[in-house]
Amino acid sequence: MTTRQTASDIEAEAILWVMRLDREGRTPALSAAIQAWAEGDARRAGALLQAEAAWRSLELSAKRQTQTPTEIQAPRSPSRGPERTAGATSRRTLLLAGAGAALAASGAGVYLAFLRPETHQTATGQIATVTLPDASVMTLNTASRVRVSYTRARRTVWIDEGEAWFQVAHAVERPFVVMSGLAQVQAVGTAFSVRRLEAETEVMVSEGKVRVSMQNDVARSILLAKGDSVIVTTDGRFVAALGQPGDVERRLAWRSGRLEFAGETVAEAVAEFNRYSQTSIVVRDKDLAGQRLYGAFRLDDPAAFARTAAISLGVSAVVGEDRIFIGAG
Amino acid sequence: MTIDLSPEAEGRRIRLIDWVAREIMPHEPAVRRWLRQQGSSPEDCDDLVQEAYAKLAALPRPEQIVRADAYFFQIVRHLRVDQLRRLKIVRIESVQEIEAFSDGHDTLSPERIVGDRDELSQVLRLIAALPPRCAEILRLRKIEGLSQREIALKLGVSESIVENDACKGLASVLEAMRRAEALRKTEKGRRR
Repeated sequence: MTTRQTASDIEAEAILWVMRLDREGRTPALSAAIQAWAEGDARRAGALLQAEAAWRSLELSAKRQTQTPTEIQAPRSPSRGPERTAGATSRRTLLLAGAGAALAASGAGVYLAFLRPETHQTATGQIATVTLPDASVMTLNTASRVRVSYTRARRTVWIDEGEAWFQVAHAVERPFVVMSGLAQVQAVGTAFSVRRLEAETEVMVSEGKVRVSMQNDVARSILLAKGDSVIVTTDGRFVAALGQPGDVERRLAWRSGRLEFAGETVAEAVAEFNRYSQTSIVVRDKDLAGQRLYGAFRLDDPAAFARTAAISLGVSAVVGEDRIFIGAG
Repeated sequence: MTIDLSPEAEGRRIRLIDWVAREIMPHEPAVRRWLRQQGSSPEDCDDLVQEAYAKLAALPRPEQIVRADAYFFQIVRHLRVDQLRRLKIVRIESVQEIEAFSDGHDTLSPERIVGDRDELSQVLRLIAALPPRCAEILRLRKIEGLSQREIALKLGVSESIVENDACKGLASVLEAMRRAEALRKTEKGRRR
């Protein structure tokens, strides 16, 4: 007499079928094989349905979490504007938002973040807004890469490259911490940006207060308020950035697709512009590089910036194939 | 037995799976709890649940069912009576007693049903406890949408490792349905 198979053996077989379906698709041959298997025991068709539904439920739970970014993609400028780099991350950044309401309260979202820190990445010239599981908002600037991990006790973001601006949902029991270079930036209900340049980190506060500490010695910290900014240097010093009122908002104009200068040198302004485009601007004249620049410019149009700047400085600009020259003889 | 391989049949199957995932699976833990309360062994539970899902597989239009939880529960209940009869454990009169008792005491109330939807988050809690590579493979497959081959290339492992880990992950999800009953008990204990 044949021993009756256990339900758990049947389940193991069903799981293998689900994986084959996943890999090969519902081909006639595979469907026929599954049918033949299912006829051997009344429970088998049930186990298969269970396994297929469980596989499907992973997707459903994942979609509930909705970390879908809106794209504020800089439109292509007439002369070779920002290039879009394809890659695994563009799959995420291509999704439209509008699912903001569906976010957040779902416990599934928090647990999903347990899987691994979620990486978000932007290409050169790309600016993307990501809504986080607690409804905090993170806007990534050009060429940036961050990792986000939410646990029950803490919300953590690591900045591996680039710059992000955060609007943090108020949750006292769950501190929001950004790690960048040597610095650790903690906020409760605020808006601030963190920019990583190699191992240096610059923090600017738009709203509320943040505490910036040394990761390896959190007792060393300073408290910043709205309008303040600080640089944490590679040798572990806090350097307060001297500035005028309104500097922070001006330096965050990239969120609206603009760069605003109020006395930065041409060299500094050009370096900023070059972050956003594969077309680099080159300043030919050394004296020119030290001149001060004022004005607001669309960051997706380096050629327009170069021409406008050139006019105001009394020089010419030449737009080449993949480079733009200011102060060309 | 002829197999229907038309696109319509495939579409029906996909809709069925989706419906089962959304409307039936969240209630499986509650159904298992009831079975255990009624004295079914863990093996009997597994058998009955698989047989119940097999009945669902035959449904032509599942989305027409209004109370999926009650429907599933009813299938399980009848299957259990059948099982008891097959095992000749009880006399006919006792079977009638069981049915009478069941009607009064085990209807899934709306409050309990809402509670059961949280069971799906148990799925994710379980995934979080998986070995990192296994969790990452599930994430790459189900969230990023990479194929098994792409995952194998990306992680620098063989496709069979990817498949094995995915199987483990899926087994965990199914296990979550069984564990959820135990978890619920623990939580009740903690609340006191």
